[in-house]
Amino acid sequence: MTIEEPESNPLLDWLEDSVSFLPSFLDDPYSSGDVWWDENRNLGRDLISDANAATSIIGDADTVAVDGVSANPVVSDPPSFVDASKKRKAPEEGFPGTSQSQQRRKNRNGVGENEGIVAAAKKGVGNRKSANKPTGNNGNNGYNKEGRWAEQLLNPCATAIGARNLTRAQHLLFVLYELASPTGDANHRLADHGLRALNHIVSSTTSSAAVGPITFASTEPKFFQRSLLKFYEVSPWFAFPNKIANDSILQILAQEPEKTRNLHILDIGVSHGVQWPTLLEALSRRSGGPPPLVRITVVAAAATETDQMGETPFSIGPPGDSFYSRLPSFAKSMNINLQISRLENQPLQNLKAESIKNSPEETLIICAQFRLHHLNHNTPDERTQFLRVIRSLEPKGVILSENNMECSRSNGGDFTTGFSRRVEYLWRFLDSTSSAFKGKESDERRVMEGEAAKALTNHGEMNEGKEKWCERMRAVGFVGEVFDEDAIDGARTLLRKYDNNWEMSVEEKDGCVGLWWKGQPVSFCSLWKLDIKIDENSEQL
Amino acid sequence: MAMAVDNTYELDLFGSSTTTAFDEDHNWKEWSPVVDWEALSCDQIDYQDLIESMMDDQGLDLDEIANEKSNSGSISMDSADDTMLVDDEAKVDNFKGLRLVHLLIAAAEALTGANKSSELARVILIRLKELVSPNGGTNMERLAAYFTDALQGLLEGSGGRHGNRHLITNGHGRDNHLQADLLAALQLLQDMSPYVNFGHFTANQAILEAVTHDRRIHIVDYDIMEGIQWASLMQAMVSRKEGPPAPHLRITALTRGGPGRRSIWSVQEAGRHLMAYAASIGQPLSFNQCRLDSDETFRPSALKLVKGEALVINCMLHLPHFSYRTANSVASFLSGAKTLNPRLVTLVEEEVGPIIGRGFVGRFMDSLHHFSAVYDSLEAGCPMEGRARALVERVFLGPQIAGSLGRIYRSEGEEEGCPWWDWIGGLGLKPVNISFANHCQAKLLVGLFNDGYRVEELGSNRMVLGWKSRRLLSASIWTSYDSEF
Repeated sequence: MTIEEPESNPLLDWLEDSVSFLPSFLDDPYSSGDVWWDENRNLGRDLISDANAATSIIGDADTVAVDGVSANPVVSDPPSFVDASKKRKAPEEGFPGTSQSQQRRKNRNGVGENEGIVAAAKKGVGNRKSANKPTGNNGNNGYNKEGRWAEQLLNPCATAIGARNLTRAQHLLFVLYELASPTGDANHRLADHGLRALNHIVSSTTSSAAVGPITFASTEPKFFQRSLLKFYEVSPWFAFPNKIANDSILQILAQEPEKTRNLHILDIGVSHGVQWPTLLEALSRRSGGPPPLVRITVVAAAATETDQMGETPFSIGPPGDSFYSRLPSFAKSMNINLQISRLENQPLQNLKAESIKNSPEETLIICAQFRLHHLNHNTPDERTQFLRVIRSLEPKGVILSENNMECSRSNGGDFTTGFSRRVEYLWRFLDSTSSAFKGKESDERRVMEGEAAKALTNHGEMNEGKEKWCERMRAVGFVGEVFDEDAIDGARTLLRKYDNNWEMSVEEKDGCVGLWWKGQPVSFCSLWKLDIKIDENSEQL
Repeated sequence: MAMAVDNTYELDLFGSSTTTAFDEDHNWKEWSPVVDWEALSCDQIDYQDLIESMMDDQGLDLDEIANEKSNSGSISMDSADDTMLVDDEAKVDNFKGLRLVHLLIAAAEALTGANKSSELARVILIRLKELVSPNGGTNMERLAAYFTDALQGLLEGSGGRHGNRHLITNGHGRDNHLQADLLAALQLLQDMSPYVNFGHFTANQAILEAVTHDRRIHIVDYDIMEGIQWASLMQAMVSRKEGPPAPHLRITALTRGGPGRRSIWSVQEAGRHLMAYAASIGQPLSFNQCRLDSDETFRPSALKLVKGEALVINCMLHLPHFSYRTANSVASFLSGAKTLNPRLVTLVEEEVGPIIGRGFVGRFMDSLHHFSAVYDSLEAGCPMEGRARALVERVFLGPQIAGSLGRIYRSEGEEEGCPWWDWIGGLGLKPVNISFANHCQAKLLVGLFNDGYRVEELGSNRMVLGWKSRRLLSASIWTSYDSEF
């Protein structure tokens, strides 16, 4: 695959054949689609009708965006940039791309010079030899807490609830109620989702679930797919880890001595199939042709009927989503023999190695993305249990992508701390998504955000730091594998398509690739192989 | 209404359906059934109760929560909903008042303290401005408009000294108002409420009683304003049926030494009016002025005293229609006056709430409580006179709110909390009993207005005028003599 090609082209071509609404959608991506999408009307909260109010909120969004750009240390704090470049020993390496990327940016959406400069910096940042963090903008200037007012209400409110301070909690809920809005800037939206979550947490589940935000499961399948594709187009939140996953599958295949073995992918993810057309296309162009048979076993997330808000974000699609079932015909058009099988209603904690029908004749690769955090992280430690099951399948490679945030150390028992971390996760999502959609309202945006907001009420401990995950992987008998040049370069190129506040990092220590938003970690991707040395001992672990 | 409020989800936190324990560690069942919703269903919300309960962390007013709950259920902010019953409108107004109080307090919280966040304050003030108006709407909306404006000034760092960019107060303290507006507003305030006359009458009655047998009386007035207090005193003096003819009265008005040119002019004006009035009723009067030093401190030596005059010190502070005087200035006046052995000291001041040392937010809530009582009383006094009240609010209360918040903000709420009547006892002045007649007069005065007003006797020498549960003005009388005259 040529790197400069937009990733989604083959997919869009294919969809244009099969999905009739797509062309008109592409012409007018921001129309609110009121013809077919009526659910939001029932949410009861109208758009702000007052022109002044609307203006002021839009004004906010602009201000925030401007702050975000100017706060970037590359622009506002040249010394730190120069310093960072020196540390990497090869600042020049980053610069040849400057004019090119700048040019491309201008062509794409007419942005000015500042962005071009930042893009250049990003190239430097993404340098392979770079240290474990992107530019030094993880300080205050790059990620200004002061502007994040919603958290300054939500966290004290959670504290008051935790302390059973009724008067205080009620006061803050009143204020949140006034400031929350499902439209507007990321803060208003965060307040809205946070208020819902706090209500949900302290009141009866059924009443809240009935009026919850729009989620995947409540959408119409075509719209669901459209939303996903739109999100992939504007945000690297999933596109980036998916891209790395696909490229590392190719990397593993290339390392296999036998090119004619079948490929079997165990898909434990949240891409709902959207990531695979790109891989299939790449396989079809592989020297020596695609594997004779490609199998994808999808471990579908188990929907909980009673409490939708408790589900893992992004994991449950709407009933009737047929994306996977249409993949084989797409593959066929590329002369790939693709088989899809689904494991339904298999909670991850109950997944047995026997359920995965793999044969020794095939190359098994496990792709676990943003799902494993749903498992308990201790008492019982379901995460390690599950990784053992994976280990017992003896895959040729495991790709693990997860949210990269520390979880609360106190066993998740501390409600307030846990809540504030969830809120922080959601803030990064909403803030970056606001930039991704350029502050514009759309139903696609709303459904993605509604899905992300499940993080606030999700039953599992949402996040665990990268180090902890790596520790778990090593403990069950995996050894970290470094991503090859193609995967890194491909990821870096992909990232340039998106907002300048996105950055990537390559860890020298463990080979993980990190995705960062405004200097804060969002997610990490890691690649693992069996550790042959401790193979015999693994049973004792 | 400008902003639609999502009524598809209520504030369920206190709902009767609170049955879920979301986690073994957080069993809400233990907590929520405290409130018996069925038993609580009255319709009126008293913001003051809310403020009080918020000032007291332990306190929890069940009525108010029940009301919030029931109102949040019935409320619809949709402007299309014209069929709303009058009763519901009242509920909506009440509920909106509560929302405003919560927002104001949250804005004050965001301006100071450990969690200070000017961004949060800014967002809250934007929301408040959507909800309030200084000219229309309910009492609470107008009050909130002035508080919002004052908070905006604090946020922008001008703290009451700001320029012309604001909604209402516009940096025009009373100095910028037209003289005509001031007088009209004063007249209205006097007609609408007992605030002006309570202080004047109580002080004057005490003066009359203290100088019954004196032929020459010298009154030193700290802040004479328009001089109306002395018109009523002279009226009383000439109309005394028994006793000797009216004594000679000398009034010395203190004037500010600083750049307050207008102040001098105004004192002169007041003097002219008083002289003319005295002549018209046959009361012998002389009028003097005495300058305060440039830092507004009082030098007793600057005062011209004549032997044989009974000296009366009159000190009216921070009443709704008075301008602010610094604590240093007041202290220098009272302590300086003490050295002159006055026959009588009359002191009328604003009653500060009991919360002391709670920082800016505590003082802010006290201030909100105080002014909401004043607004409430003015509305109860003349519910139909919206425009008249708006004038009084604009001319007197708005600037007072801005000034008051600015001071407590700059002092971080640590401004002296000691009331002057308490302080003055420490000077060695002795309390003078408030006479039965004086007390009756105050009750009579208050009886002319709404029955929400009340007069309390606190101690032998102090009377307090309150509105419902809130004490607003305190009048006390003192002497330097060893025994009462």
